[in-house]
Amino acid sequence: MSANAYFLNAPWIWPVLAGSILIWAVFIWKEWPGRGKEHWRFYVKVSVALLGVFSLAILALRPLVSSTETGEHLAILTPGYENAHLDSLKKVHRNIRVIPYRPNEPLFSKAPRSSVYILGNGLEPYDLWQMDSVRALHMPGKLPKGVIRFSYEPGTTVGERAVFRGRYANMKKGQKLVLEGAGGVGMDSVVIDIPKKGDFQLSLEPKVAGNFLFYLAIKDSVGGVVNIDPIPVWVTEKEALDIFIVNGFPTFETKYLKNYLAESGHKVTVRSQLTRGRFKYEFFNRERSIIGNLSQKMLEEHDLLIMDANSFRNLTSAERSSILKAVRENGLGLFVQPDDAFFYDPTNTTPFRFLPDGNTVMSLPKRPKMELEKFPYTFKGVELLRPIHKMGETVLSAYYNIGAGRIGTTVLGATYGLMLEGKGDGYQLLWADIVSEMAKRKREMARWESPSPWAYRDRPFTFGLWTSIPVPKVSTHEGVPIPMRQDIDLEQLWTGTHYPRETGWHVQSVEQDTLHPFHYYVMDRGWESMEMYNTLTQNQRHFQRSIMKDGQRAGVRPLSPLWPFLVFLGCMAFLWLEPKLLGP
Amino acid sequence: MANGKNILLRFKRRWLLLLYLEAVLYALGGTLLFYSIFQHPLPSLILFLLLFALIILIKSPWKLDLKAITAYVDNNLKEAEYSSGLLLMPADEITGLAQLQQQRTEQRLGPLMSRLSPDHNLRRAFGIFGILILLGFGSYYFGISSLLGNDKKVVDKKETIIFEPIDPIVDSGTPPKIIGQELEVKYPSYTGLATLRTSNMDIKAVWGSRVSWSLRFDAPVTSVYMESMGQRFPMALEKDTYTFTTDLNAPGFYNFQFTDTLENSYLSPLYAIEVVPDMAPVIGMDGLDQFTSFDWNDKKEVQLRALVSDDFGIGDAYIIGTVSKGTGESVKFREEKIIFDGVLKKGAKRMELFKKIDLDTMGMGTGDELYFYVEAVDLKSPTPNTARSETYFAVIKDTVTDEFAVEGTMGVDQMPDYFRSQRQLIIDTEKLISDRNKISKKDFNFRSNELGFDQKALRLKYGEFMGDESEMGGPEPGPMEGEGTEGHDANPLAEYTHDHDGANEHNLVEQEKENASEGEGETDDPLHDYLHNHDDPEESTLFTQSLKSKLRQALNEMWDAELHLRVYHPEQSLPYQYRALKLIQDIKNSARIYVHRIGFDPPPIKEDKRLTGKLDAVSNFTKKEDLKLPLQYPMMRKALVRLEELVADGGLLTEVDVTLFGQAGGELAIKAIEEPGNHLTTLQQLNTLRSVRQVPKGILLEVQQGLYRAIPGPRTNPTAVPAFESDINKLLIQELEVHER
Repeated sequence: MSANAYFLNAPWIWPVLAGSILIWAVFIWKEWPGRGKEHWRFYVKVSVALLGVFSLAILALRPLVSSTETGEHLAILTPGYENAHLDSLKKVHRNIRVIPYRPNEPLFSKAPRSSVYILGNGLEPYDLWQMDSVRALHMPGKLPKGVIRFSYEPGTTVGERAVFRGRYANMKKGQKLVLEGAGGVGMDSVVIDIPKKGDFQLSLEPKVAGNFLFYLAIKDSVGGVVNIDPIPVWVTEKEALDIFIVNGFPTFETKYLKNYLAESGHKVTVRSQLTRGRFKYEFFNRERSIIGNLSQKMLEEHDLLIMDANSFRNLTSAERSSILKAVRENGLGLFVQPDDAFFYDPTNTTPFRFLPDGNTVMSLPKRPKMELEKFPYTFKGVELLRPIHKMGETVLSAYYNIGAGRIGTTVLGATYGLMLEGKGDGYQLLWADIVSEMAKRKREMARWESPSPWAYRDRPFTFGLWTSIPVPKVSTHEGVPIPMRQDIDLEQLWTGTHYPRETGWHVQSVEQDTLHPFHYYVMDRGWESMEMYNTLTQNQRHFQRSIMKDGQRAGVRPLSPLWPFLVFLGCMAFLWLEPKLLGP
Repeated sequence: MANGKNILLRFKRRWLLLLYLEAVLYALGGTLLFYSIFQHPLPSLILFLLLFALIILIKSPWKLDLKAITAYVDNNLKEAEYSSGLLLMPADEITGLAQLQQQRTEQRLGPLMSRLSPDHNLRRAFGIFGILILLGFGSYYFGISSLLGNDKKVVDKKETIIFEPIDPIVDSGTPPKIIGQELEVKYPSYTGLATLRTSNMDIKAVWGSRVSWSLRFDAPVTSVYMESMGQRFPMALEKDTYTFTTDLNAPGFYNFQFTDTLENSYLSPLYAIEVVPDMAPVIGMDGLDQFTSFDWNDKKEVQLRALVSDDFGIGDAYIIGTVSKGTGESVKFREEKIIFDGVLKKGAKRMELFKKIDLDTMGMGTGDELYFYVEAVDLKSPTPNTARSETYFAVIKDTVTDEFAVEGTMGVDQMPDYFRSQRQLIIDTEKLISDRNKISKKDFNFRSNELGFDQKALRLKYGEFMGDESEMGGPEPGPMEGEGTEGHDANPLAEYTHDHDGANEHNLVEQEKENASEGEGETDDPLHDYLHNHDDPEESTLFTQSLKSKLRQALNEMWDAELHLRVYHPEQSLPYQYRALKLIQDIKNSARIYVHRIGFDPPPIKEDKRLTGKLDAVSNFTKKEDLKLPLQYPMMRKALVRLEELVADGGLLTEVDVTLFGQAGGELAIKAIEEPGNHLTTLQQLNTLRSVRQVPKGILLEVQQGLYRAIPGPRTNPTAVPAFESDINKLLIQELEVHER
């Protein structure tokens, strides 16, 4: 056994230690006046007390002792095991029995009493139950080669930059990870510099809506494909927003913004004031409608209200409260186009506060590289401020969550200058971020989640469903119902398991709400390295025990409480009897 | 003697060998030339044999016997001492002396014979052989073979048109195949390019080229069409060849389609037509400043070096120069075409041209400016491309304006007062009146008289313009005032004046004609009065009658004004002067053309409406517009998604798919024309997809790739972020808000 001591109740170690010292100290304090001449009696009593307190502490902490049981040893070989491990095991246990692992088959008819060694990546998660009553030790091999982690958002929209993040291990220097789009067009790639282990990020902008298989290929330096795995992505068209712009007077900022939004297909309504009580109404991509005062009911249909600071200041209190109500209750986004006064006006009724910083220009270093005009102010840091654009520590545009909605603004000004400079892309990127972040969230009746966006044929696929539907009925696209189980704490969370029989795209939906279906891709095989890694981590988590060096390993058990109890009893007896026998 | 004979026999063998070699060289050279031109292997072989036989016949090596050899040796080797014949004779048949000579000859000839070369023309043969080879290579290289109509070239396997049956289900046995295909591109004659004949069906040619296709099939077919950009052209049958000819004037694509005797249709792949426009010439000017200025005493020369280049040849190049004289409103322009020095080689692709422009020979004086640019024209017909360089300036500095500019602070145009205008006269007269008390009587009278003279000069000037100086008396008999020398001709003054009052200020009437009219022309022509002479500005009906009478009135007023000035009554002359000025102004204004200034013309606001603050008339304004940009290439997008499905489940193509791929192909074709040479493969594959039902996955993936590449990147567009509003999140946000307060 190593020098380390292990306790069953390890978390109590400090309280117990403190308590013990306290008890002992009280004992010493009690005995101190009666030291008398015979000092040795005092020291004996103190020592015995220490022993008693110690045994009491041992009783509470329950140390683990090695169990040196003998018997037949078992080694289960799973993929990825290392021969060195097996050899050293054989050296230690001469009569070790080696079983190759076959998934989904019983490992032993009767749970063995001896310890079981699992070599390699481990058992499939669905076989782990077989180890429940077995003392087992997992000896993992090397990390699998290739991509061991990969995550992305499988449902995306056209033009939205889809980001794919992952981790690789044990690759070769010079190999490339290539993200391939529809038909195998190379869209993005990284060259492996550190072959041992590292993270990577790839991205692409889907061009067309539909269900697609992209691919992640590992290619060697000459372009030969070493491995290729499918990435199912489900692309939908962007949904048009309903945007209402209110301006005190026509501005260039609004002119360019409304053109951009209208050309992108959004419904845009612009109300700009001509003179007192007279307005210019513009309706883009939508029918004319009568626009009266700003009321909650009228704002209900809009996703985003863009208003210049001047108009916001001059709102009647009724209008202001109805806007805030629409924000809080209906989830409307309110974006305030600032003017100079907006930044220093102490009566500013928005939650934003600013500090002057004197910078009127902000340069963005990359993607896209551009210079932006800005007001010489910066957001006064408040924890709940949610940044939309951030350059280092400087927040350029941000919003606050107000109830279900948001109120946002920016310190950037005259962004239409970008258009005039021919940097339309930068302008679009800037405003697309602001508008997307600020607009009313598309409320979903059902939100699906799953550990991975793909499933394997004939293997369980577990998914979660968040919904406020009281009893959701989920069925596959073939109409097969899937039983759902409600989470014990979160009543909106449901889980279900499906065993897909066919490869290809699967769609399942809640019967009560077929508008939000769940797409996932079923394949026969693929992502082997990642699967192995997942098995490995799950096994490691399952068999959370330390590994003995040089292949030796003994079982442990808590020390029987009888021994410390007897010692304690003896100590107490001594302390009780001692004054009686030897006199005070 | 055997040894001696052997020497001769060896020599004979050598000789024969050389003769045969010569024959082989001639024959081989001729054959190679023939082959390089006609490229027929079998006839070439026969030709070789024939040539060889012919030359052997001419050379007739069998005539070469030992006798001839001995004669040759005797003739060419002194050492043989005419005794080589002896070597042939058996030793026992000749005399002792002869034997001695025989041995001597044998010994001598032994080493010498190898040095003696037989009579041959091997060098010439090699020369001819080389020339023939060069000729053959040249004819091959410059494609003479194809010029000779010898076009049965081996068509590159890769270029052969492969026809696919449109309906693959029908089995028609072996479909007809292409055995001959040719594309002939006749470039426009001005390009100077030779006609191109090729079996490669992708066309890249100059705009305006004439293209003809010819196809030959190994089996009879009923009809052959060429399809291009939605149009269908039947190909004409000539002997066994189907041909079609057209002029190239737009890029695009085409393919062939034919129907065999069993009524099965076959489709060829798609080929690209790329039209290269004839570019305009490019002009480069070297070492010349945009702006050159000269002082009046400089050597006023501009050295011009222009580099002109064109892709097919320059037709012409010249300089267009414009000389401007005068300033302000009186500026005059003269345009000239200046030819470059040296001979211009028409049709050259690159030219370096020089010109030395001497401003003096261009008749330029101080203050004059020359603007010039080089213009080049290429040979394109019917409308040639022209290009012009930037405009360059050469200026001779005006000494007068320069001085004025230096003393610009003076604020007064210091013109020598040789000639006073009417306005000036009035000012001076008024000054004289106001000065009356300050100056002496004599001075006063003198100045008044002087003004009178100036008034006369002015009157004469206007009178000239009226053409009536003859009535007024030409040179005035003015010596009595002592200033007649100045007065007798007003013209010399014109050089030095700013002729603001001059009626011809704006060059409405050409100076020379004016001068001509003041001469003796009228008096010389007795018929003058009876003619309505349009050439004469004086007689012209340019001026209305009232104008003429006004001028006459003005002259009369001047006359009176002068009278009063001469008699030292300037104040009495003033009213006349004013009247004269007014009349002159009237005349000038009537001859002016007014151009309306362009500017913002605000609508008149009614005074009673201004600043009242009433908004009754101001109303709300409503505008409705659909600005949504249409989705680009919708069919290509659909096809892309459909391909993804086909790749995934490997199904057969349906009728709907065929239509879809056809439409996608249409969209891609437009894009491919815009970006030549980019999407052709995909387009061809899309075309094949229309005729084949079961497509290998590889092709589908390739098409998908091609389409994906062709579809432009999406526009950055905001969208609603989906969010599930869970109770937990709501609670969290509420809690956070509470904390924030």
